[in-house]
Amino acid sequence: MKKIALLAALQIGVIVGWAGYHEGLRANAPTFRIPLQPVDPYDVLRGRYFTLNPLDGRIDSAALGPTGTASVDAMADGQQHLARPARVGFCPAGDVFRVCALRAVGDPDHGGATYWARGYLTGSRTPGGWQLSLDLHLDRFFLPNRFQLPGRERDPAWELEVSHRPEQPLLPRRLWFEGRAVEIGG
Amino acid sequence: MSRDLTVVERHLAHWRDAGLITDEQRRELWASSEKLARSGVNSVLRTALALLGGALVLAGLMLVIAENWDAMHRMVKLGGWAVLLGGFLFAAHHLGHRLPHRPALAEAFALLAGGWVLAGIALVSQIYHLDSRPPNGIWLWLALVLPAAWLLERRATAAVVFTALVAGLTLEIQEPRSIVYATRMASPWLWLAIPLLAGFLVSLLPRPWPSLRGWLGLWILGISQVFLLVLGAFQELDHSGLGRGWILAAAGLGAALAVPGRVLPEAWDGLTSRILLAATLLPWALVGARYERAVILDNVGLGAAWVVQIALALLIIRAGAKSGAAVWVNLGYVALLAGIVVRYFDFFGDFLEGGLALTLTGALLLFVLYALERARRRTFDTEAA
Repeated sequence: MKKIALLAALQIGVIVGWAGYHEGLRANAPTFRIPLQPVDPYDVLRGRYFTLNPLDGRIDSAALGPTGTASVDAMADGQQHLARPARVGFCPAGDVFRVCALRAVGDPDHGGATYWARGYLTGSRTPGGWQLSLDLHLDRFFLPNRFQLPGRERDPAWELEVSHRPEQPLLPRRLWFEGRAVEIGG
Repeated sequence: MSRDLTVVERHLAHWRDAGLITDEQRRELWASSEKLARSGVNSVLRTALALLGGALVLAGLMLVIAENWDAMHRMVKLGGWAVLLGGFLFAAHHLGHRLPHRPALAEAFALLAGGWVLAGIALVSQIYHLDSRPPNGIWLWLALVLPAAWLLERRATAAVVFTALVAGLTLEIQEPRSIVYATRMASPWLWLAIPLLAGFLVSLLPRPWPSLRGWLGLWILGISQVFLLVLGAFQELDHSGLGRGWILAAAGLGAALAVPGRVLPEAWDGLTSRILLAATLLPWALVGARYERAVILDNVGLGAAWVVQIALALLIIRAGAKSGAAVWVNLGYVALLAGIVVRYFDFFGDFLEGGLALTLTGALLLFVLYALERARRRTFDTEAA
């Protein structure tokens, strides 16, 4: 019986501990909002979900300001194609935060952005700079099956409130629509 | 009168006629068996009603939970998951000790407990909208279930570990950033290697799953035959480029070739197992990256696929006959039939037009079926002799 108790303690402890970590983040981590271009499909195992599709999932390095292309060039190290983890800097743009800087992982430069998180960058060199795909590890937001969305998925007013952990991937916290938090419950 | 009582009556009459029991004893024994049969009927009825009632209660509870799932607080969901996991583990342990000679129920609860851990991982990722590399969830599942192989003392855990390993490795080879990312799956290398590697690792557990070797043998034979037939007939599934997946291919095939007795059926001796694996992969080794009609070696590989498919079917028949395992003899003949039919339509399919051609094809098929059935029976008769 001791062995069973030990096994149960291990399995339940890990899962509940993992949930507890995220509860702690929800309670204490700073948050900010980023704009989305969502899609609303269905996952067989976990149910209905929003494909978040952050607006900054595709960016042009020239749009990141005068140092944008230079910083990506530094990461690419002379190559024409890039695929690597990156530090992603977010700056305020009205009520939301947008990607405003990219740095290599390990680069100590913290200037130019309010929040720094981790993402994965892929892209190719073009005459004007770099065409980049940025994976912020924000793919899905699960919804109750019968939940009625306050707007259509293709409306431009969708935002995601994220929990920020310094130099780590962002975590989804809440959906926002037209400047108001979407209350889902549970 | 129930079937049991009919049998008892017949035997009692026979014993009385043989002088083993008197008529008085026959009557007493009959009365005793009749009482037992009546209580058995009652017991069966009670059990059936109890199971029906239990199933209805369970179904009702599940419906109540499903209807109110969205409204339940996340802590209630997690708490419910934890309570159920504890219950499943306790049931698996308790029933295993209470009914040591009837372990099926305990094994069922152990299997349920193993799967329930994955449900917990899915629950947390759903509640907190977590997203990660798909294999990560499976590796966490494996890490949490693995201690059960030592702590729970049930064989069902090996089945859960095997499932987790196969699922994890299959997802891992599809991840572009994985160290074992496979560019293609259109060849038998990984379809064979992943289950073999998982089977080998599971065989190292303190309580392996006894039927696994048989199921693996069935999978290996099936994959071998399907890939050889498709390559031979259609020149499809011919891409051998594994990318970094060669690491897994080497590990799985290497383990199976080194110690076939750990992963492949008992009915297959070591030589049969090694020949089957090596011969299955021979055509792809000759074809190279992919089949090209103008390359001689690729055509040799194609011809090898035709020959190997039939040869492996005969090999399995021989192995089954030698070990007395009828299932492998039967499967070998099924593979032989499949090979003959596919080859026939591959070579002559374009000429089969009109009623006469179809009639002759049907007659030929019937003859082949008859000949194979005779050969199959002769195989069994020879082994019985």
